[in-house]
Amino acid sequence: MVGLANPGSMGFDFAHINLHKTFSTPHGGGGPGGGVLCVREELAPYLPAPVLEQAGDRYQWSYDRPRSIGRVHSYYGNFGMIVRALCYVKSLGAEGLAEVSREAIVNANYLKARLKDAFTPSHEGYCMHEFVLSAARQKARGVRALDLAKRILDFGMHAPTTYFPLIVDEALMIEPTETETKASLDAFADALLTIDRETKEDPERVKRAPTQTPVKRLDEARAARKLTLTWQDLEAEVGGA
Amino acid sequence: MPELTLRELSVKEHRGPRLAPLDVPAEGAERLLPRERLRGEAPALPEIPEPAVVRHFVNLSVLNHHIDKAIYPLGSCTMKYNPKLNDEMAQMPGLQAIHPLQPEDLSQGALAVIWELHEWLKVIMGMPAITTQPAAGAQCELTAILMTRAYHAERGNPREEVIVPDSAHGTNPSTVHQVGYRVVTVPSGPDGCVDIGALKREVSGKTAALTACSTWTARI
Repeated sequence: MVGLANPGSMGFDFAHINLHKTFSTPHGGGGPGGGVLCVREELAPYLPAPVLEQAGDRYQWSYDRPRSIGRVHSYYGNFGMIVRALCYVKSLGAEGLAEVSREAIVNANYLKARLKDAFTPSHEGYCMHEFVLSAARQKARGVRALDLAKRILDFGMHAPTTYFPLIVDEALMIEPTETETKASLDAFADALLTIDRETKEDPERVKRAPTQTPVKRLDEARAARKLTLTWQDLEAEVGGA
Repeated sequence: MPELTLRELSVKEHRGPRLAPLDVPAEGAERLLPRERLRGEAPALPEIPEPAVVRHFVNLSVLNHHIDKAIYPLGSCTMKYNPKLNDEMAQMPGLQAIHPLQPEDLSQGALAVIWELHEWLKVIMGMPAITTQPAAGAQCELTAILMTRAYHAERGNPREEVIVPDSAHGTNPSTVHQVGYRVVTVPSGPDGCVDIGALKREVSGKTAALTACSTWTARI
């Protein structure tokens, strides 16, 4: 919605966005995040201290904030991300940012239109920058959203978010973003439609996936329950081999 | 085929770049370090030519999926391509070498960067006040609910409940709980939006805030 609408004019008192991803710090490797919290005037006194102020031609941190909730982070946030975000908004400009939003919305609606006959959209009509499909029909053929997601990996693409939101049965949440070309969107849609065909003709192939990746299907829960974080942990696990 | 580790790729005497001969007198480690700091044998460092090292890391870089390889349509995550220019700017020596404990008079350029971004984001969000201190989204939620409590407490009643839609990100109810409020869940209607009738029934004098997912927004 950047450049098209804003939470302030909708009457929200707080609104949060991320600097990572939306405002140009790559994500996916567990790298740094950056949170932005905007508030209306009456809530400003409670913002975490210090607050940046402009005094003439000089900038300074104001620590004299008696009603502040205090610090939530050391120093002043993740500065490298602030630099990336400023470079991003300045290089696009106001109109460029609105164009980013329009393209993200058009891309999502294009993919939704290409996929809606094979997968059931959670809701009819146009979407914003992302949409949710239900794989309920595929589930009836014995193939679950998780299997579809694993099979997409064999096409060299990342899977959509699965099982979120929780209120949609066998949810696949898809957000193509504005940075994909039509050819890339088509390749993704073609892959999902191919996989849908496989659920009718060869469901076992989908349930065995992935077969083309460096590691095959992993236990979904083991990494969270059995932590192997150091080489000593690994040695203990494999018996010091 | 699995990628071997650098240790497995190592072949004795397969060195990388050759160092130029010393043009100053050699000083043995035993003359520079106390005896107890010297190791008994040479370290078992991998011995690999430079091209093999480059290939090793390039091969590793494509084992995982990333946006530089192909589409990453992970919903609710915005895994888009980020221009490399922005990384280059963040790596400028003048910005890399500053320290947060440096005096404000010597940090004016960095503070101007933060100030200018704040001005942009306030316009984008349509809101007059901002912090970029939180580390990420869940901490923004925590900050917002802590501020909610401070706001209400100052008016004599911190209230008891925060209303969260059933489609919300899991961090929403956990944040509410962490600040000590009770989570009141409202269902979604058939159109996927919050059931307004149910919402009206839940709002009361106990309500501290209403939250909306998943680009997290709230109303006191």
